[in-house]
Amino acid sequence: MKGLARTTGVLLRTMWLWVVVPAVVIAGLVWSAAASIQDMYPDEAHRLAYAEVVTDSVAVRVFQGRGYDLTSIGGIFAQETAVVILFLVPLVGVYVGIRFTRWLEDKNYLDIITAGTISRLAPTVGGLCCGALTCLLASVLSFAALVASGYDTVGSALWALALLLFFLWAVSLGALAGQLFRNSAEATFAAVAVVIGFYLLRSAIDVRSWDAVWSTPLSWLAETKPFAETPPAWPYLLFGAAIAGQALLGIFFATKRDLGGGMFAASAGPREAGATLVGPRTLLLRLVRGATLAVLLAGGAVAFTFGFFAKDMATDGLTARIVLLVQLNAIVAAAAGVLVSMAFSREELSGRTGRVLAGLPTRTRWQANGIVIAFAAVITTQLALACLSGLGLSLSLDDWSRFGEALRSNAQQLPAALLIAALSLALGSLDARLPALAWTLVAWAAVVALRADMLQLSEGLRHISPVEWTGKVPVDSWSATASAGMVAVIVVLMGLALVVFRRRDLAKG
Amino acid sequence: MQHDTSGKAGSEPHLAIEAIDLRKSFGATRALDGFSLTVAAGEVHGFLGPNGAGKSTTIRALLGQLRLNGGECRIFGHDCWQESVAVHRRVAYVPGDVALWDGLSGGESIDVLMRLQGGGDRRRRDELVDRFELDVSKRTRSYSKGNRQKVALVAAFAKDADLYLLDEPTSGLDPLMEEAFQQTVREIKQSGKSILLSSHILSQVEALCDRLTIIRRGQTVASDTLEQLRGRTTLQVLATTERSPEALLKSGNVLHLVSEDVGGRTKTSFQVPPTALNDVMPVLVGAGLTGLTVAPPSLDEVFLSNYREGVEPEPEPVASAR
Repeated sequence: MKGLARTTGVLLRTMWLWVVVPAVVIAGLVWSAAASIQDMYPDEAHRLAYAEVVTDSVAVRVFQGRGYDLTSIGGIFAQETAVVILFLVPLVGVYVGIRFTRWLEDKNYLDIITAGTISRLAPTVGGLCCGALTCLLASVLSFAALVASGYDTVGSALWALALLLFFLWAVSLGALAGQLFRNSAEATFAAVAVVIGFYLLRSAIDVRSWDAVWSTPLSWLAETKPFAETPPAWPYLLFGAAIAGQALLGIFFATKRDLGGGMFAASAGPREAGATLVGPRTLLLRLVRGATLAVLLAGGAVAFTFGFFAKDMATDGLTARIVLLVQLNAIVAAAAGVLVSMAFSREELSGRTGRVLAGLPTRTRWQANGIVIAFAAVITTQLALACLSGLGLSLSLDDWSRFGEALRSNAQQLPAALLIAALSLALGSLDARLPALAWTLVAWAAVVALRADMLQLSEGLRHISPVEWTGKVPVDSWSATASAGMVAVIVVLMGLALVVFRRRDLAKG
Repeated sequence: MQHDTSGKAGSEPHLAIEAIDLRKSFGATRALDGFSLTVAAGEVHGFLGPNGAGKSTTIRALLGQLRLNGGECRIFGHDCWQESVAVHRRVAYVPGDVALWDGLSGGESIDVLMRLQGGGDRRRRDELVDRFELDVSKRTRSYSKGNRQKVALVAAFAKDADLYLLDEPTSGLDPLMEEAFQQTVREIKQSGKSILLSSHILSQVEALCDRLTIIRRGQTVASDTLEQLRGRTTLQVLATTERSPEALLKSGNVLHLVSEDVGGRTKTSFQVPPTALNDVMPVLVGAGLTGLTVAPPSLDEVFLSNYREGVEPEPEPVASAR
């Protein structure tokens, strides 16, 4: 295929971070889980106790799927990591697949590349190769982490192979969606919907113990049984067939569609703007409503399910699970705020903010609207997740006082979520390219909430996460001082953001 | 600081744009280095210069998007940075690279832009949509560059502004739409509005502009009417004489002199500033002038002489003969 090496080289040179970062993050999670599980289940008695709890738990089946070989340390590792792997790897995979096969085209860089002496298919196949490299790197690093942690070498190799195939399945799904739809955003939306559909199907199959594990790739992962004495071959073969099928279909559609288009024609829009689309606020709301709604729906489904099954998952006490639930709601709400902040900055980087500010809105009004909408997204998300998780808890425990408690605890965590969003907005006021840095704080807050004990993080490191500042509500008493301090910081940050944005050059216009 | 002062001033300033000694640096790059520009009210003013000369930076400074390092910049008497909203109330803007909202249709985008700039005439909007043959029901992500440009043009021209800032407004438009654009600009000109037109299309500038300013490396190279600029550029002379006009070699004003013998006569071509034509005519007559063609500089020559690095508007005499 003419130009494949050159195209792959361009992709790797310009997007090498997309090869390295996902692989390192996944391998890091594998390493942290592998090391801590070795410590937590050191002998046969601990493993037998674990197997008994897990086998009977509905919640475990919902979030982690069926477990196999649970009396072996490898089996426990596979089961425990499934909660993250089943969710994270497919989402990262489809994003990586779409990024490598579609992003250059969306940015209009591909026209000039394909005008050269390269095959029409080279960008798609090159993107798939780069995606495969990401998967391979994640798999190799994970294998090394497992072996270094003292796991069985053959089992580790098979688990790493299963991870490779699962990751590749998601990447090829992303690549296929990237060829079917008109742009990255539509492709990501569709591919994530497919992943969520498979996830729900897998949950139903595992909870109801249906004999249909062949029907969803998210079930195949557990069925690879890497730490069994004689692992079955069929899940590996099914993965291979699905990967080949999706990749070939993606390549087929790449030969059939126009550059810059997809397989589906665009629907016509209104000839005039509606009466509500009148100013900066409504325009910004229109721009961020899709992303905010997606976070609300996905986060809401998880919050309700988590609340509903919190009792079943309460191996270390129900209150500990409720604390985690409240913290996760705050982190999801903060993520919604960061997404809005990034959308706001993208307007500036694209030149559209310059166009808007060539009209009557002042810079202060434009920025203030961005702040209000980002904060509204945070508050709405936290409130909705509070209601849904409270509803799940109340239904599950048949105790409606839990609903009020959930609302109160979530409200107490709200300043932390707002602070993270405020930081992102303040970074954006300095430079439109900076708001994404706030993701590191969101990610760190998630690591602290989910893995602080396992990673034995010091108090200082835990307190980098603003979610820790309020106290572990509702178990600990709420720290009004900390919340007031956070509100003060938010006010100062937003004041500075307004002043700085008013005085600096726009990035583009 | 921005003041949302009332749009139209009580005593109308004579100048639509008054930019004096503008200075703007991006790091080590000096985008504007003492550039000045004046546009009279009711004037269509061409704004020309090579790529990277500072045209878009000037327009962004006029819109208050960039904070200048030095100089004064006013539109209808309002400071462009301090009173940006008062400026925007009277200005309509078309950027060279139009970015639209992917999720909106063309019609929605036009309406949003019109509302953001304080409204506009709906009948005029529909008339312009028809004139520019724009399918407003299409999503903007499916638009070509030309169609995106049309959205910006319709939104700007639907506003009853006093000054139109047009930054390469027709890049991507086909010749028919170029004609529609020129027709619209003429209508606006007839209604007494001012236009600053940044363009690389010289025929467009020649057809529409009363005066023009040429910028190079952030500095003003020339600012005048086209006729005056032509007058400053050399004339192309082709003369046939019975003898070789040797005395021309000694004239300091003659450029690119080439002579050759054809059938016992001498054909000579050279360039000369219009002001020096009187000096060379006696030499040609003295050499037995039998034929003479004097051509004014083409528009391209006028601009190229000002665009070229190291070439000043006034020529440096160089003579050569064969």
